[in-house]
Amino acid sequence: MTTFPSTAGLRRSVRTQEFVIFAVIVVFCAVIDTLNPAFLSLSNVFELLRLVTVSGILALGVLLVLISGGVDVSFPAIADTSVFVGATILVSAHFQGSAVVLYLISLPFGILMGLLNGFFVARFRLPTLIVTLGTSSLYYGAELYFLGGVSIFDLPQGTAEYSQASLVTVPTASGIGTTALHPAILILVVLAGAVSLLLNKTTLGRAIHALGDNPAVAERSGIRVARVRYFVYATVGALAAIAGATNASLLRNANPISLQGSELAIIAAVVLGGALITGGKGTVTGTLLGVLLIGIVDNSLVLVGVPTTWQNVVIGVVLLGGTVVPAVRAWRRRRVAGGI
Amino acid sequence: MAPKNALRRLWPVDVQLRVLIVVFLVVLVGLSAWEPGTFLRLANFTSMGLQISDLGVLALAMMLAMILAGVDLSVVAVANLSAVLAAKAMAAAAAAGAGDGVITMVGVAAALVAGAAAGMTNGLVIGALRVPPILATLATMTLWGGVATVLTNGVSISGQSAALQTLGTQAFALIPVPTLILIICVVAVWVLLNRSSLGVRAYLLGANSRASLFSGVNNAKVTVAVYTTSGLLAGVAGLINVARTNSANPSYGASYILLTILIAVLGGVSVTGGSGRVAGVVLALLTLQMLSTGFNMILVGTGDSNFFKNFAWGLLLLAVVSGSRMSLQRFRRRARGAGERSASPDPERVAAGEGRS
Repeated sequence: MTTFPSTAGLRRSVRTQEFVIFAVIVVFCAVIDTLNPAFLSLSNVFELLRLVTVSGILALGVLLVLISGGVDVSFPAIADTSVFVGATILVSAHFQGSAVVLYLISLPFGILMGLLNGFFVARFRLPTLIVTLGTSSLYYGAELYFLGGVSIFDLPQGTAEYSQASLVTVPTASGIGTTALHPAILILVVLAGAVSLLLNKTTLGRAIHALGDNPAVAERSGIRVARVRYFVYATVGALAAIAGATNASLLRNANPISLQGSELAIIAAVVLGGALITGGKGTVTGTLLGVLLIGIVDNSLVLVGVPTTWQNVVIGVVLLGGTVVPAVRAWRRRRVAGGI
Repeated sequence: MAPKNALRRLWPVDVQLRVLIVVFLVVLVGLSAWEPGTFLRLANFTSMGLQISDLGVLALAMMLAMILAGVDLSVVAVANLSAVLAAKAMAAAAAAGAGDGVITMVGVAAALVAGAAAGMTNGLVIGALRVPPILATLATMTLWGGVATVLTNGVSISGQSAALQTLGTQAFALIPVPTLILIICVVAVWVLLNRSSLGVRAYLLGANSRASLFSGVNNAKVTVAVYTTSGLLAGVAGLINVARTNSANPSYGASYILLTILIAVLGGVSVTGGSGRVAGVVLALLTLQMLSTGFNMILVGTGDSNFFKNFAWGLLLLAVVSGSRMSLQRFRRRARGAGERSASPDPERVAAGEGRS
């Protein structure tokens, strides 16, 4: 392919998945905003940020797993189960203190469930999809059968205060009431920074990339593959627990199946953000943009009067497009190269 | 020592089948002894036969994808879409004043064509464009599920054919018609896998796609053919569903994905492709259905047995896949001799087991 030297850099950045998805978001927002000016109002933006907080945290975990060459569909089960167990404990202890405790008590359960995933993946080297399908059913089944399937509404008092916390408060577009920017978005920001540092600035991050690129090569170059896998799945568990606690706090109840069925849209968001499902590649920026795009699609369809039943069609088309287009490009490259 | 060696060479496949037969018999005898009054009744077996009919066909569809070292997450969505399209087509035919026979045929054709077309889409995206199966079928699952939801507004719609409904609730020689359809599908898939060149090529492609390419197999063609068959089976499952319940529901059977994978894996289909027997899948299907019935009988009144089943199926899936992997690892270690075990990874194992499905 012939390129002019002066534009090569520009062309390269234009070709990155992040740029493409960013452009799609801008165009999408412009179109929606023309159809319904309420879309880009500050209050709707705050609402949108609130919506993507939980999926954003979950997506960071998905990103880690995808880069390491696996896939995890059990994170909604881990998120729901860990916070449900945590809330059950707090309620039976008549605890009424801070929401931080809900996070802290959910976290170990999330890590534990993540480690169990890691055990099957690292010890038996089983396909990660099969393992996490199994554990997902296991976690949800255990939670619902042994703890009962009833939402817990009497969360600690501190959680109720936390759910109403606000960084900035603005009036809604309609002028009735106010919308707040919830501080939980800061959790997402901090975690995104941490994951980005982990992936780009640490040896462990390089090991995760190497594992996803080619596990055999990673193992031969001295990386302790099993440990890396344990770490990845435990981290997914931890992130899921944080997301679960955030979700329960924002909704002011611990619903045992609140996030059930959200796994596919979140994986879709991460893949749209440029992460390879075959491992070794993916960025935090792309992931957040992907989550934002899926969030905007969800949020805006209602605003412009498209029935919610269309949601999955749109996500399916976006996902199919997002996977087929790179595949077609790769196919063309192969043909040009003349190889297999 | 010759017979012993021959046995040992056979054992990875045969032991799995033998274990399955033993487990099947233990569950059968156990349940019969536990609750003879409830379990050993014709009505119970008829009911179980009905319950496995669509699940069994879906498990066969999943099995085909897994033999190619893939997975088909879209089988349930395709079945539901086929069911919805069949119901819609039958409604349109009824509105046009067609007779009952014509309406039924229109419905059957709509379901089968929709299933095959959806399966072919998967096959093209996976085989020609080389999108990983999990991702391709994830996308089509979302898409077809969404289309089915849009077509029905998310609610269940009723089928329009009295003949189809009669067929779905009738029995020949004590065997319900949906179960007969399952039996036909089982035979068809067995013939496809064991008596056709496509079957041989599918096993080869699943075991080693590069070897299959270099031995002159058109991998893309085989992939499209196998996924189309898988979609066709999903269409049959959707049709069974319409016939049984006289309705089509876009969100029917969401938990079936796990179950179909569980049945295939339990039946000895390798998650890394290249192997799997129809007999194993059928035995796994029967065992699982008996266990399900057993849980219902035993857990009656102790909370929701469906939740317990989710727990049990998850546990069972993990136990079976890790058990079979463990015996494989032990087998390979023994085959290579204990002394050769070193820090370097086994390239064969890396190639086979490290990927995702």
